[in-house]
Amino acid sequence: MAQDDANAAGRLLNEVESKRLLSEAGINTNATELAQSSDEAVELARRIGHPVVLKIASPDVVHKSDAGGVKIGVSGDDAVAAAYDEIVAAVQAAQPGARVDGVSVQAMAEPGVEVIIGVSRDPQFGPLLMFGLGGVLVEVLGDVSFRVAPLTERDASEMVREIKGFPILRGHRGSPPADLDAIERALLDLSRFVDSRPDVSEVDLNPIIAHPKGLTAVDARVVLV
Amino acid sequence: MTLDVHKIDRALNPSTVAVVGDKKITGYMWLRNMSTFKGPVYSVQIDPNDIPGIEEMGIPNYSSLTEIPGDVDYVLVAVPRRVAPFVLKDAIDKGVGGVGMFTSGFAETGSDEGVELQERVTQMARDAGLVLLGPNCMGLFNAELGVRFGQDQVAGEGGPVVFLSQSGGHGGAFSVAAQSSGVKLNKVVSFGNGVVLENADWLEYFAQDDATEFIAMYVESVRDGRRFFQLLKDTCQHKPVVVWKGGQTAEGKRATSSHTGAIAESMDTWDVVIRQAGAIRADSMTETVDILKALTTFAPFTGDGIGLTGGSGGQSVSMSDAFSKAGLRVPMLTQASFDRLEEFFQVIGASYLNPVDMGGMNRPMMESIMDILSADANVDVVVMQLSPRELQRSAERGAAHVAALTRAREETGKPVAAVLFSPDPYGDGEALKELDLQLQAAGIPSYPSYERAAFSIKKVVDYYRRREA
Repeated sequence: MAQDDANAAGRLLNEVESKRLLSEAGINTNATELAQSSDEAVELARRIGHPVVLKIASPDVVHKSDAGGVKIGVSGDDAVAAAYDEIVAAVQAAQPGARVDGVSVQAMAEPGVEVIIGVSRDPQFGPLLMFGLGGVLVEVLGDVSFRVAPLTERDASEMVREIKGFPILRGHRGSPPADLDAIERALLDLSRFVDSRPDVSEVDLNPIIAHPKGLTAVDARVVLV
Repeated sequence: MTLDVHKIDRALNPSTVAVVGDKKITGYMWLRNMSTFKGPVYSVQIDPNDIPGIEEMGIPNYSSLTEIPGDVDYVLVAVPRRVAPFVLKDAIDKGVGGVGMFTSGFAETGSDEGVELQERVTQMARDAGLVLLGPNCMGLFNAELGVRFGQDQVAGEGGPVVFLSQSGGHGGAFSVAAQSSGVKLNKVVSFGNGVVLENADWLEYFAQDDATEFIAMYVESVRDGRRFFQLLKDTCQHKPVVVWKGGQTAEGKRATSSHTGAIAESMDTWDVVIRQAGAIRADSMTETVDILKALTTFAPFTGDGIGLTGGSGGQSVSMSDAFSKAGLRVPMLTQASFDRLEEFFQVIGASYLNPVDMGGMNRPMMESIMDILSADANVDVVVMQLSPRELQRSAERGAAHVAALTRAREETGKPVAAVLFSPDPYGDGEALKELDLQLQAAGIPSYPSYERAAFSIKKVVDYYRRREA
């Protein structure tokens, strides 16, 4: 039974693997490498370029920030090494027994609007694409749009525009508008990708930072069947 | 399976019909249903208790389908389930056009015997390429040819609408609801378990059928969601499809480990599918018929500015609220219309904004008000409230209102609808029916409330807007 449950839930790829796969699908992701020691983290941060983001890599930690597993804008070797140790300690304190693969070291993304793009599979209709604004708007208000794959350009355009929070993407209180074309392209790319990959059962790109030009997926989860 | 259009054509437009297994105990319901059929009807029955009654009806009876002289195009099978495979074999040997299998007790029972029998029947029909409706269904209603599955179905005149139904009961009730509302039916296909031809197949067939201008369907489940979606989407680009989805998806619960999956759990995928395909969603039979009334009487239109009239002060406010709430516009009239209205309008206690108030002293100017409102450049659709009780008192005034609506439609080409306002619909039943029939004859849809009129118009304008965008 436990075996069946594990199979039904599929195999969760870690963030590094997920991003690699989604890059193949044409989605722009930030450079993300896995460090398994603080020394390794320092070296990776130098290669990626400061400042960096450090994030816990664990299949058991779903809400990474809540567990103290994320540090943003870390600059300098000493700070990177310290952040590595702090993250591991915080996660172990928050979720004792959680499996820890290490800490991923990531390039900082340009600022923009946080959006979420996801995929799930409907037993009758196949892949379903989801779009919404990141954070509270999705989690609390459920302000999202759905379409079944394969998406047309019109579907992608409608998905982006039908959410209640759309005005935020058009630029709000002086903030620059998000690159809507890039969001639509990402939806179409992901639709094509999951349509050609029946082994991909679920995808979360949460969040994607939609910049005034282009976008970057800064977190990703892929579940294989 | 690949669709054999000619075979289905033959089965659904038969020249000869046979009923197998009709019984005295049911009052020979199937042979009575077929009494309106334009061609020869044959019976197959071997039970000596049931045969005399059949012969009394003047219907030739045979002991097997294969004994019937000449071709048989449509066979209704109403035998016990264990006999069904044998009758099916005869039908295949005879080379009939199609079979409607009323017989139930198959996979829908969940019993081993039922499931096994269904598999047998399915395999036989597939191997033979037989057009099979059902089992566990009411089969075919062809309005023009008089092939019926219920005695309430009105035969003799065809129409542009086809209704596809997984439920026989809904198929029968829909026929009555539609025909009494002036929605002219071409066919109703009740296909029950749909073992050979299911929702997607029927949709594919009627999408290419030139006699079918509008499709409505009652759907519980589909065999291949992706195929159904694609077909629905393709069909809606040239033919409106109203989808009445019944039941919640049983497959809703599934293991998810993503955020998206968790949100998708609580979402109605059918809602997405219907909208994305450009189809029209209905949630009840009433909604389905209401939408069809508008679809079948209005020429395609994309303007959503509604011109309203016929009410008194408070009613005008309510009309305006209902149409706005449905997502339609109730625009201001043009200056030219104001100028014309001002010439005669009694402004005391009345308003000639839109809605144009027809209370009290303005009532005699009904014709002029209708002409001005319908001709207004800001008005895309005209809706007038009528009071059946009041109009029943004067046949002349009733006719004048219907004539004014008809003229508005003919002169402007705009969709025109009526709301039959009654504070006592049971009491006013006769008056309502009479007025509705006059409106039906004039090709004007009528609704019993502002809300239902607004809902239906909104659904239709959304369909055409999407199609033409």
